[in-house]
Amino acid sequence: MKTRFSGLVACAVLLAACGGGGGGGDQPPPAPNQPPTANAGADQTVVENTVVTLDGSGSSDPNGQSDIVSYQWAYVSGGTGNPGLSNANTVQASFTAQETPSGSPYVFELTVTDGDGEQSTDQVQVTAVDAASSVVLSGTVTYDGVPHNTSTNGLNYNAITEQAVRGATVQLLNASSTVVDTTTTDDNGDYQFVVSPGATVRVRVRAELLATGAGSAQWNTRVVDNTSGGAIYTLDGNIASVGAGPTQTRDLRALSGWTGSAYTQPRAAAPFSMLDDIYGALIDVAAVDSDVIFPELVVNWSVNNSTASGNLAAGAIGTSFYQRIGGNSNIYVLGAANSDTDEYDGHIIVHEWGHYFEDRLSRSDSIGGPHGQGDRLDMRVAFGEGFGNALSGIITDDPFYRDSFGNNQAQGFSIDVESGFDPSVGWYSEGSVQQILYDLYDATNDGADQDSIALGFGPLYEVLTSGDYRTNDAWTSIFSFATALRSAQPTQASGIDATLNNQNIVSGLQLDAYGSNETNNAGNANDVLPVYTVVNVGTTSGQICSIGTAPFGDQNKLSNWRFVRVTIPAPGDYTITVNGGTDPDYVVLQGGVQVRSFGQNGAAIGVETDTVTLQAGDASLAIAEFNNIDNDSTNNGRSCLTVSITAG
Amino acid sequence: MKQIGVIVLGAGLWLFGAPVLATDKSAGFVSPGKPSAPVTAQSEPLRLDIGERGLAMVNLATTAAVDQLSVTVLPSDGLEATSNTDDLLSLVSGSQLQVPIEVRGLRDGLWHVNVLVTTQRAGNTRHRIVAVPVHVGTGALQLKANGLVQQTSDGERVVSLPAQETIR
Repeated sequence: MKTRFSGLVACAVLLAACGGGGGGGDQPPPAPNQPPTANAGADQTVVENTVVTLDGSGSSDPNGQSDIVSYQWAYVSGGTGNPGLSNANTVQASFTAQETPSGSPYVFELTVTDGDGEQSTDQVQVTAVDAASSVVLSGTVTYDGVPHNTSTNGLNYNAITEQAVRGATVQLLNASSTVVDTTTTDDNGDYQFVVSPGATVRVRVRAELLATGAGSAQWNTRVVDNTSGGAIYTLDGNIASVGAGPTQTRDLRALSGWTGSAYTQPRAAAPFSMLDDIYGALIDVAAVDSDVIFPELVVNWSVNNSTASGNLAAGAIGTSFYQRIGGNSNIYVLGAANSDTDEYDGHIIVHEWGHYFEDRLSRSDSIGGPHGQGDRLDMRVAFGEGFGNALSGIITDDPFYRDSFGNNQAQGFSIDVESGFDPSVGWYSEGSVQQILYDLYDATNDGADQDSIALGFGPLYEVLTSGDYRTNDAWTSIFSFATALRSAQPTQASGIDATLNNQNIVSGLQLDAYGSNETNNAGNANDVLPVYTVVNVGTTSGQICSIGTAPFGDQNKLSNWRFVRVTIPAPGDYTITVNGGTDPDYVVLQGGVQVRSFGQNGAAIGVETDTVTLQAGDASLAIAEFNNIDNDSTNNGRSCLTVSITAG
Repeated sequence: MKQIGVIVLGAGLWLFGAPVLATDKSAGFVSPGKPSAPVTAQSEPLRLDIGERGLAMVNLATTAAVDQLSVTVLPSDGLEATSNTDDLLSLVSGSQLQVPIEVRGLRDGLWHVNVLVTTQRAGNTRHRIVAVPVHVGTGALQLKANGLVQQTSDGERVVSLPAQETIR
């Protein structure tokens, strides 16, 4: 049993610190204090008469570890009564455990308090077993963490470190390979089982993060081999006797398989490295939303996963990417050595996980596709990719995104998501979006980007998962996000505006979800602005031009798709017709839902028309000439379209 | 400096960087992937007999201006592959170029020529790798193994990876 509670206990007397204070002056107010998170450590099973240490060092505070000013341990229930704690007001307390009655483990509670008086509590259970009839089988599960060479951005196999496999499912298998017990590694990679003396067992660690307890954060993530029919990776120890007891330790380490100049052994660490990157993301989100429920996620990795495109089951995945088909969320990760591997590129794993987060917990209207430095992108793609980059820096607590590749994985590149150069600056740039989001989050005032705001992750998460953002009638973009954030954080408006201004994006009272007052046209005076063309019911728009290869590229670049805003006066059926070009297409969005999806009329007849049921209020269209979005670079050009909307 | 010829790309090419054929409207949108060089790349699969030489063509198009673009062919199993392209400087957005790669099939199977495209802009490097399929002989795909695929007693398929285990 693990229970955790964070609460505000001092707001009545600390209004300013809790976000209730007023503004004033030119400088934005400091970011509000955030409560600490108590961590009483993992539940323990020990042999009777053992001195047990209760460890609260895993507790944390978003404002910095030094902000925790006190730790207090207390006996709650169970065991043979209060055993008496030593050092109960320190980070580590201890006691001597007596054999606990069946079903009645010791329960202790840790309370941590920060400098603003905010507190958090967490409970831990300790079970003590009879020494004569039990063996406590315990150990630590680790994997080889392969860091980057910060000069080349390639992998540095000479600096491998042993990292804890956190939160993974551990199974105990008997001699018949039947699972006889299951547990989960703690944040140190530790696990425990109680078995009978002389039992012959094997320890198996599944590449799986599974948390299903009601009332707390829930997740279900696993790493599988897409070239082996989706088989889940496991790390297996040997079958062996636990002996007579009272304890036995089995430490399991997943090795990289690198033996000096090549991968010559099984690459056992890879699945667990990716799993741990995702575990970091899960617990960071759970820290700001303690009962968040993550939908199932499958990470597909194989040593056969190459940059060839084609059959996913054969490893031809093209690149690392996120994809949802039906209700199933999948991340595919490159693994072909001496070409491009991403299993140790933690920022890439989190970047793709960010796409999963957007898709399943927030909202994304991104149309995907390739994106590179300097690209002027479709604003929906720019926001999704910029968010993924920023999140990778936030979760890893490292603003340098690194991607290794090449012979021996020795080459690479990096992106400074906080202040790195990107020649594309504006609402259509993933570089701008990543810098804005990271600067909104981080506490570093680096001067160069006028970073005067430090919201932390919580306020960003709250907006991304809010109903207002998820059901907004505008397409997802930096405009829709910043407008929602500005509304949710009015005392931080000046800081938000500064980050937008620094990226040449409309801000202040001129900002809305549609970018209505945006003036940055990316150097193209004709076919970029307005971001949305307003069309009234009963009228036909002027020409709205979809442009192909030049100057921005095709498929998912700026102005391949153009956007239309329409106000629906009353609920009912509306006929929407897009004329022009050779094969016009359009998508309709209302309330965050695509009420008419892409490609419903594939005929190249120079007109696309359909009747759509809409509610009163705003709706958005995305319109395009298909030849400009089909990613084949042929028949691209400037196709000018008109939009008409009529009732009925 | 040797210049690579600029061509107009043909239709019916393999797509790079996304697992969905964008020409199939029913497939909807492609998937979001990782950041890369501002270059799209397309190629056609090549078929060779064992010992035969051939030319694989990779068609590149820049989607943003770059100060420098270079192409490196990475060694791959079952093939010999070389390209003698030089670095290209100061490409504008929309530049199209074709990279010929000499390939010789060494062993029967489906292999890939890995083409590393590196771009620089204001000292910042990005890359994109495109793998060109080369069918040699029968062209049969031979997947590499990593661990042992097993079926558990309850029917689940697992890939068993050996742990370095310390028992004490």
